[in-house]
Amino acid sequence: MAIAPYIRRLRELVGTELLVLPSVAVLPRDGAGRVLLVRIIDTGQWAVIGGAIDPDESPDDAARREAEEEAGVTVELGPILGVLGGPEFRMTYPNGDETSYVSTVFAATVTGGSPRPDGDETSEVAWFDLDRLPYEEMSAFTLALLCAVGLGPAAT
Amino acid sequence: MAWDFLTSSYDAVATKYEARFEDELDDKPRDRELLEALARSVEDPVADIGCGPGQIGAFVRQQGRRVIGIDLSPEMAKLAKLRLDAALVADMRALPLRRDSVGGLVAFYAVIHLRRAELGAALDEFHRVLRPGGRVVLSAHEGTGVVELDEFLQEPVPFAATLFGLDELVGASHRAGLEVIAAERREPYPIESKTLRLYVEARKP
Repeated sequence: MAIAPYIRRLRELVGTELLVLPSVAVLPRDGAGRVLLVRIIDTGQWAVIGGAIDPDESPDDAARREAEEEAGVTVELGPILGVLGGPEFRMTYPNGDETSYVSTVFAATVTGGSPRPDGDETSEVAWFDLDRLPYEEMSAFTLALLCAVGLGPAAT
Repeated sequence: MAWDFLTSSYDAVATKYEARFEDELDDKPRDRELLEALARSVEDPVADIGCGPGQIGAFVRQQGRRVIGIDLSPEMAKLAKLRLDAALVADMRALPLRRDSVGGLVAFYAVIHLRRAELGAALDEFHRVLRPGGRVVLSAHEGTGVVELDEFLQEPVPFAATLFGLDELVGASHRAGLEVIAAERREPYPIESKTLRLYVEARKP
C-alpha cells in the first residue's frame, strides 16, 4: 500500500509506533468466477486490491478508488465478505513501521476500464481461476485475507 | 522457523536439495507405508508442512489426496507448486488455514527447525487446522540438544536443527490435544544420515 499523505503525517508524529488503521480490500469476480489480483512492486507478490481509508472517505468510496488506482478498473461493489482484523493482519514494514489493519472486504464486479497496473504500486494485474490462485507468491497478510473470506487453499 | 537464517539457507540450496531428495522415498519403505496409511484414512486436503520441493506431498498426492504444500522458503514453495495442488509461504506456528479446514497433515522433518520451546506452538496450530478425526504424521531425528552447522549440502550457508526424544514428541502432541495413535523409532536407512528416526501418528479427537 502506497503511503497516503495523512499516514505520512501521522508517522512524522509517532514514528514507527503501532497504528490501527481502517482499510478496505476489493475482490472483483468475473462471469467465470475468476478473481482479479494485483502484483505489488515493492514485494513482487500477488495481493488483493486494497488500502487504507483516507480521512473523511467512506469505505465504499475507498474501495472504488483503490480498484481504479491499483488495477485501472471501475467496479460495482457487491456484498461485504467480511470485516477482518487480528494478529494476522498486523504488518511490520521494512522501515520498522507497525500497522494493524482492520479491513472491510468487498465483493465486486468490473463495470469499466481494462485491468492495467499503475506502474507505481502495482506491476501486474490479472484474473485467476479459483483453483489456480498464486498462493506460492503471496504474503501472510494476503493468505490470511483470502482464507477468511473462504478463498484460501483449503477451501476448494 | 526459529533460526531466521534457515529461510535464506533453504532458498540458497533449493534446486540442489530438490535434485538430492526428489526420489528419496524410493529408498524409504517405512516412510511410504506411513504416508499411504495417512492418505487412505483422511479426507482432502492434506497440508504438507515444511514441504520443501514437495517430494513428500507428491507421494501423498499420488495416493489420490489433494495436497497443499507449506514452507517458509519462497524458493521451495515455487518448486513445490510444480508437484502439489497448491503451495504457499508460511510459518508452521501461524498457518494461513482456517480452523478444521484440513483432513490430514504431514510434517516430515519440519519441527526439527523449531527451537525446543516452540514445538508446542506448532502442534497447537496442527490441532487447530485439522478437522475432528483428521490425522497427522510427523517425523524427527532422535537426540538431545541442537545441531548447528556452517554449511548445508556443501553450500556455505548455515543450518540448524533440534533433536527430539520420542517421549517428548508424544507428550507435546498430547498437550496440544492430539490423540497419539502410534509412536515409533527406526534405524536410519543406508542413504540417510546416521540418526535414529522418530515418527508420531496422531489424531484430532
